Amino acid sequence: MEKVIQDIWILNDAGAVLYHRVFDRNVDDQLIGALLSALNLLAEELERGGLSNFELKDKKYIITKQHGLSFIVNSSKKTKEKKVKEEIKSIVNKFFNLYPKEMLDNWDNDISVFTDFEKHIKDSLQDTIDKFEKAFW
Amino acid sequence: MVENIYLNFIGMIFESFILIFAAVLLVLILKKYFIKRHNLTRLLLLIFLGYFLAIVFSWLSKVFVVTQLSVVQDGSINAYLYNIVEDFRLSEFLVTIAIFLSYILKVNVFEKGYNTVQKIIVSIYGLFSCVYVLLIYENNNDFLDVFAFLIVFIYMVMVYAPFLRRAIESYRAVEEKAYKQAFLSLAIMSFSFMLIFLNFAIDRVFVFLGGPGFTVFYYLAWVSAIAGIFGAYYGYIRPRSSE
Repeated sequence: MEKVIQDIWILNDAGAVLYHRVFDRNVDDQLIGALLSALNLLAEELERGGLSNFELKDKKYIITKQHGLSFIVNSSKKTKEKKVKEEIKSIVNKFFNLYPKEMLDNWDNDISVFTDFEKHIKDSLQDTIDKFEKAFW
Repeated sequence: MVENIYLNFIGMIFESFILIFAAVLLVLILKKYFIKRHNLTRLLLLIFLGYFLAIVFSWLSKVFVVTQLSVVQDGSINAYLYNIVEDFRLSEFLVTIAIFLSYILKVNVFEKGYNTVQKIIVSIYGLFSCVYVLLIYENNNDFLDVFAFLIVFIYMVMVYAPFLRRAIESYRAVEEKAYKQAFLSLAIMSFSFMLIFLNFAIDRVFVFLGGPGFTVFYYLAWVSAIAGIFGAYYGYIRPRSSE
């Protein structure tokens, strides 16, 4: 069963990665760094809340920007775009609910405050399927 | 009297087949539990044990009539136990317990946690249902029996309608064919379970109006049970994880 969203990066305007969840750990870190810088530049062009997407190799990338943060996610090309967009919307909302703008404005560059985010973004369908697989399938 | 015995005999035969289907499903769930050893598998086992026993006691009530086994209505505990089996009340009690456990299962597999208000409502209604089906009883009072079936039907809807909605949502969202089929089967299962008690309640209304019962709705109820059993099999047992 594939996740709707595979990798997630959340970057601020300065290019610092506040949070990331990497699905495929074999991907080269340097490549990721270069990719993120390019994507962050692209994100700067986005209007607040706008979405941009492109395809690279076997993955589809979606970028959205809100309150000075860029949310970059990727998914399999086979996954329906509507589903990915719904999931990224939910991730953005959860992030700002957990870490309000006021808190982010006063952030002291300690990324450990965002480590808890992982457990809040397990997508609900994947969560349900995981439970069914463990208990029944 | 002869007609009543004949109708009960047909019912007994029909329910024997349901009992076999339910027993097979129960064994398969037990087997699954020994493989998975998971809390949710155990919960599923308890749920279907409740349903299975409910069918056993329903079948037993037909056996009482067919074999003309009866007790003196002297208000004793034996007479009470006989009555709650014969008038389906013990089965309704077991189904109520199974529905409550289904609610716990539903929250654990489909939700991120309990909704406090919903949890209180489901618990209080379940308690009310248990008290009604076991204590609000009068021998040969069909009016009270119709209500007992309706109360359990409403409880079924309270728990299995959201279960149905979640199963359909998951069916629509998931892409893997085997899982899609599993969620669809669970949707069929929950819909069928709701129909069982709706049909029984309608059948009881005919009894209340003076009929002998065992109308088409009685048989539709058990056909729904068969559909539910197959839904449970294809939803819980048959799918194999690709991991």
